[in-house]
Amino acid sequence: MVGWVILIFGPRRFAVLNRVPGLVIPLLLAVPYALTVATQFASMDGGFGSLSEVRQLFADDAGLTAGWLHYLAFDLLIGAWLAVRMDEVQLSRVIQAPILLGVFLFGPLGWLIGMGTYAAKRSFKTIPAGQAA
Amino acid sequence: MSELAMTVQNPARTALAEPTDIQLIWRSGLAWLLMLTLFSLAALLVDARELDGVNVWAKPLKFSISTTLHFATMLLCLSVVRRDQQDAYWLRVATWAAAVAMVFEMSYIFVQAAQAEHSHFNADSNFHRVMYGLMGIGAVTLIAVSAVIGLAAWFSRNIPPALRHGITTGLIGGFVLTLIVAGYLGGNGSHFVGVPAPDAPTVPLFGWSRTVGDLRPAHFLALHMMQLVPLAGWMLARFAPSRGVVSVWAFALAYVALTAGVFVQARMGLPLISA
Repeated sequence: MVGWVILIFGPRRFAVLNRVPGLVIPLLLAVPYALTVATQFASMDGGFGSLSEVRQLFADDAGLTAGWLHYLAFDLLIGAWLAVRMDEVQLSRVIQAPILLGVFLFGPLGWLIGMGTYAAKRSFKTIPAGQAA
Repeated sequence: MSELAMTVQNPARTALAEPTDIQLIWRSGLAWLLMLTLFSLAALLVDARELDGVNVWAKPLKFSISTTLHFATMLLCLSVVRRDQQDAYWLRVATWAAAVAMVFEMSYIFVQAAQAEHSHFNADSNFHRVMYGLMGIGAVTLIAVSAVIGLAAWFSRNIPPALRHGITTGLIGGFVLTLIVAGYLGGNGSHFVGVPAPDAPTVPLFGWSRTVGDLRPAHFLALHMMQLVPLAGWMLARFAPSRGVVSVWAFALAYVALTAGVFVQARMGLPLISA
C-alpha cells in the first residue's frame, strides 16, 4: 500500500524514494514468500497442472498466503517498471495515476492499458509540435 | 509574408520543435484515450451484457472516441498558438484541470460500464448522485478549458486570420452551446423527450431515438462545433484567405442556427430522423 502511494503520488526525482516500490517492498514480500514456498510447498496438496489442482493449492491457508504475497510483490514490481517506462516517454503523471491504479487493482489489465498508452505516447514523438519560436 | 521568407529568416522553423509542457499533458491524455478506445471496442465484442437495450460498452466506446477527438482537436489548435503563450500559468492550470477532469470522467464511465450500471442520471444512492454531480462539474471543466484555448488562439496574432477566427469562434461557441444544451439535458432527467417503446428503432451506434424527441443529437452538434468550425477556418485560410474571416463567421452562425433547430425539434418531442 505504501509502495503504491509513493508510486502514484510521490515525486520521481529522488532515486532512494523510487527504490521503495521498485526494490525494498518487493524484497520484503519476496523473502517470506520464498521461505513459505521452500518450507511448505512440498507438504501442500494440489499443483499447477489443472484448475482443480490450483483450487486445491489455494484451499491451503499457507498456499493462499503465498499466492497473495506473489500478487502483491509482482504487481508492485510491474507498476514500478511501468512507471520508469512511462517517465521515459514523458507521459504526464495525471495520466500515469489511473494506469498505476489499474495495475494495483487488476495487475495485467492495468499493464495492458499502460503498455498501449506507452506505445501511443512514444509514437507521438514524430508529430510536429508547432513552429519553433 | 510568404512561407519562403519566413523560413529564410528563421531556420529553426523547419526543425522539429520540442513539445511544450502543456502539449505533453494533452498528448499523454490522447495516448491514454486511444488505448481506452481500443479497449472498449474489444470489450464490446466479447461482452454480451446490455443496459437499456444497448451493449454496456457502447457508452465507454462513444465517450472514448469523442474525447479522443476532443484532445486531438486541442492539440491541433495548440500547435498554432504562440509558444510563449502556451507557457502562461493560466494555460497550465487549465490544462491540468482538463486532464484531471478527463481522467475522472473516463474512469467512472468505464467502472460503471463494467458493472452494467448507469453513470449519468444515476440516482440509485447518495454515492451515485454525488458522482453524477461531480461528472457534471468535470464535463463543464473539460469544455471550459477549450474556451480558454480559444482565447489563447485569439491572443496569438501570428495565426492566419480565418484560422484564428475559426478556432476562437469554434471553441468558445462550442463551449457556450454545449453548456446550454447539456445543461438542459442534465436538468431534463433523461435524454428523451417523450417515452420511446422498449424496442423502438434507434440510429445505429449513436442510439438516438427515431420515434421520440432525443436531446443527444443537439448535444453532439454543439460539442463538435469545436472541430468543424476550426476545420472550416483552416480550409478557408488555405484556399480562400481573402474572404476567410467573413466566411468563417457565416459558417459559425449557420452552424449555431442548425444546432438550435435540432435542439428545438427535440424539445418538441420530435425525432431527428423519423422511423
